Amino acid sequence: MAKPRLHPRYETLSSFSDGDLPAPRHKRIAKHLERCDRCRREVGLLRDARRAINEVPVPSLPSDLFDRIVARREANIRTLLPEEPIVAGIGRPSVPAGLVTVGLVLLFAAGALLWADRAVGDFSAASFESLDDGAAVRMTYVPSSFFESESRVRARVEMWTSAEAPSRIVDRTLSKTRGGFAGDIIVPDDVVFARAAVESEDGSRWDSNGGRFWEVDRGRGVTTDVARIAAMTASLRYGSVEIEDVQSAAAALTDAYPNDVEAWATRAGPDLSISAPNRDRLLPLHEERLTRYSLAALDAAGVTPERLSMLAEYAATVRDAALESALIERLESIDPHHSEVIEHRQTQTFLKLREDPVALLEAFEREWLSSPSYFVASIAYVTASRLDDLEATGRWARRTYDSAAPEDRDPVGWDLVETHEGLERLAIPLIRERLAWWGDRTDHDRPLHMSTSAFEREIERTRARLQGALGLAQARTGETATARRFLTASLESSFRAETARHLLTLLQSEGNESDRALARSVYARLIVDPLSDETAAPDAWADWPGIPGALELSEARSTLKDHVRDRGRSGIFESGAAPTATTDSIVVMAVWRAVPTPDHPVVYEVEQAIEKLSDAGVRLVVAAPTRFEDRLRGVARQIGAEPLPTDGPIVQGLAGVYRLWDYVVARGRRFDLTADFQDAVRLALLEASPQTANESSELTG
Amino acid sequence: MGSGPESKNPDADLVRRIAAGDADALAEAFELYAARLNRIAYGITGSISDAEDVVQDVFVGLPEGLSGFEGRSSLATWLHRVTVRAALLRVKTDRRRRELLRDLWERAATTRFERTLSRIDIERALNRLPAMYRTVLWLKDVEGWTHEQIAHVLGIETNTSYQRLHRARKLLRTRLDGGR
Repeated sequence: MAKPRLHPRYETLSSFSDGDLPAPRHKRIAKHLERCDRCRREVGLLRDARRAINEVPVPSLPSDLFDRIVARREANIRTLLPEEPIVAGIGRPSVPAGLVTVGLVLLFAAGALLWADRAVGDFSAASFESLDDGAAVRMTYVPSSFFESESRVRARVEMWTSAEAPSRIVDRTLSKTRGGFAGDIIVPDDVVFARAAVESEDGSRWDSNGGRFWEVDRGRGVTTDVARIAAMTASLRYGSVEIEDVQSAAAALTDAYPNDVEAWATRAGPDLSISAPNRDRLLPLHEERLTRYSLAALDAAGVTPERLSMLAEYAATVRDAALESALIERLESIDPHHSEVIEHRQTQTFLKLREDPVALLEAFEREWLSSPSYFVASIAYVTASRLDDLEATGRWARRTYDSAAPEDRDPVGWDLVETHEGLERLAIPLIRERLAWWGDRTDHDRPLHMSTSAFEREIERTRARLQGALGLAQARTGETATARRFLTASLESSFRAETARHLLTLLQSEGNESDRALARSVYARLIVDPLSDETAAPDAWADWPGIPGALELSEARSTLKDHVRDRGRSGIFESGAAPTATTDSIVVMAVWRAVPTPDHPVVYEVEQAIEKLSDAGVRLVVAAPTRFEDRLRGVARQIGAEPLPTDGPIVQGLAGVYRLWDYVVARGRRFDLTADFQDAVRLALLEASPQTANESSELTG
Repeated sequence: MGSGPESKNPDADLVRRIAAGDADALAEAFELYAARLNRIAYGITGSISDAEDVVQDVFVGLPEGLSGFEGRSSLATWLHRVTVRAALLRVKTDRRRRELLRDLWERAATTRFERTLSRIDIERALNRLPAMYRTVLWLKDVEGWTHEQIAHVLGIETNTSYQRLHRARKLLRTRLDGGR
């Protein structure tokens, strides 16, 4: 049988499988497939691959993400969104002086928030100018409208003398000048890298340049840009940047700073464009040049170990092994003990041994002896844990802990805390150490990117988490009284479903009569989320005698759930989200809103359910649309809250709570309040529950 | 989809409210779009935490960013575009340590456990594709975009989008074959 000798190209089959071919061509290929096993198999594989890709599970977003977004916005953190195709904004004819472009390029390599060009708009800026005496740098800060009313602001400058030594932060007042604020910062000669943020004098508001800070560069801004353009050039082979864009960028830079960059920028590849017919032949040649010119650009930039290190990391990111090696080699010639050089060497060693886990672990030990670092410890820890080598895992966990920066030391996340007794013995003292460490933090320790209040919240949250972990570890080692104390303390400062379950499990195993009230209260808060399909507590707990009336509570929850859900109000809470004091309060509003009329039979059932949960300690805010005024007063009486007056600011307050509820429905998360309603709502909450009002004010800052 | 400046964009009200700093409106947009944007960001970055960061950054910057929204497309389209770009930029952050770890893990895992799940292979192979390829592959095969849409968002020629897709599939296939 004669087989067809000419097969469609792979590209054609690929487009065919997408249905992207014009009809006549599609038909032709279909016909070919009827006769050709090989191509049919190819198309089958294409379809299999597509199906498989579609089955790749996409993890869902964490339930507190929106809270974090709101917190960042409240802290005046902004990101600039890349509206244009990446770097395609470059070379737009209307750009006045290349400044926008340079800003863009500068952002591009920064690796964090890299978005583009905003020449206008309400954004701040900072610049640095080296003063004659060497160590002093004048910082000029042009604020957004955010700081306009201030007469002085404070610059906080974080300085490093080497990558390994801890940084230190110095504060410096910037005085108002025409168009902004300015002040002189002393940057000693041994400082290799410094960055700054700006904040109001009371530390309550601050500007971190969208989390990027400002690099204090002693006035050599131009050369920094050149180094960064080099990084960008190096990224060409990674692909998301088009060659034309780099050419435009280089041209724009040449316009702006002809003396610094001309030599390399004009060579960045005028002989190559995407559509060049002999591109395949030119590309390797061009890539070689890119490596060369990237390094040339570095020379122009004034080579520092930090910049080399940054670029080497960048080269590793874009998998440009040649450029990375070249950069590391150069870095080594300046500083043979630089951490990047050492890590590079270690990486090569480890990769060589990767097929022999035993030899690999031995290599970790050797490397640790010669140059101990977090890098070695963390990789060794994961490897040992993966190999189920408990003894080595414990040892490396400790080393990981010891070699981390003080603020990053965290014994809670260790996998083996759950399984390895020895590690529990290790974890408990370390968690206690961390609790004490966090307890000792003062505003002086506040990192550059946090406001005073954010830092306080961070301390509180971290301590609650550590208390929960310590409680769990103590429970496992049989120290039940201590365990109970820490779990309860953790829940008091921050209610987490996981901690609540641990506490209930502990109470269950103890079976102590006096714990019943506590168990009932924790259980009620744990199950209260009425819209979640699953309660955050095991079903079996509803029958557990250690929780008085657990079944009843569980039924109350179901009542709420059914009534709210039946009316299409699902989605108020994320499934599995931990209830909090504020979600507790939403329950009532959600239910009231769902009830069609005041005399609807549902109202009675709901009232009963509310009463039961309230009895068990769930903190409820009673608020409702005005048409439920009378009912509202009745329920408020039942659960011991003061009835809310209907005139004056409280009416506004109720409207605020009501609107708040809409907000919660819309976003399915804990609320915070817009400024308009903040005070009124807080007042209303205070009326209903002082405790909740306190928490609410925490949330709303 | 609106065709001219005078055509009423259905998102106009939401956009106006978000741009005015209305937190409710931002929440509404989050509810509507976050999960979808997360999937796109995950497809491109191949990392849960990176995808999360991208979604966070997009919404943190949304009220100000919307000043660039001209209503010529739907808000969803605009957000997709911004997310794709943000995710592509994110891909370039420090990764050596993670890659080394992954590499060591894989080896450790191979020696101890049987590799049975082809889905894991696919994920790994996908993760190892350069972002330029993975992005096109994901947008085409999972998100169902046309080459024209992909080209527009990435700022490339339609032909380039075709080429990258085919190249991505070839690479994926090679890696899957080689990985067994």
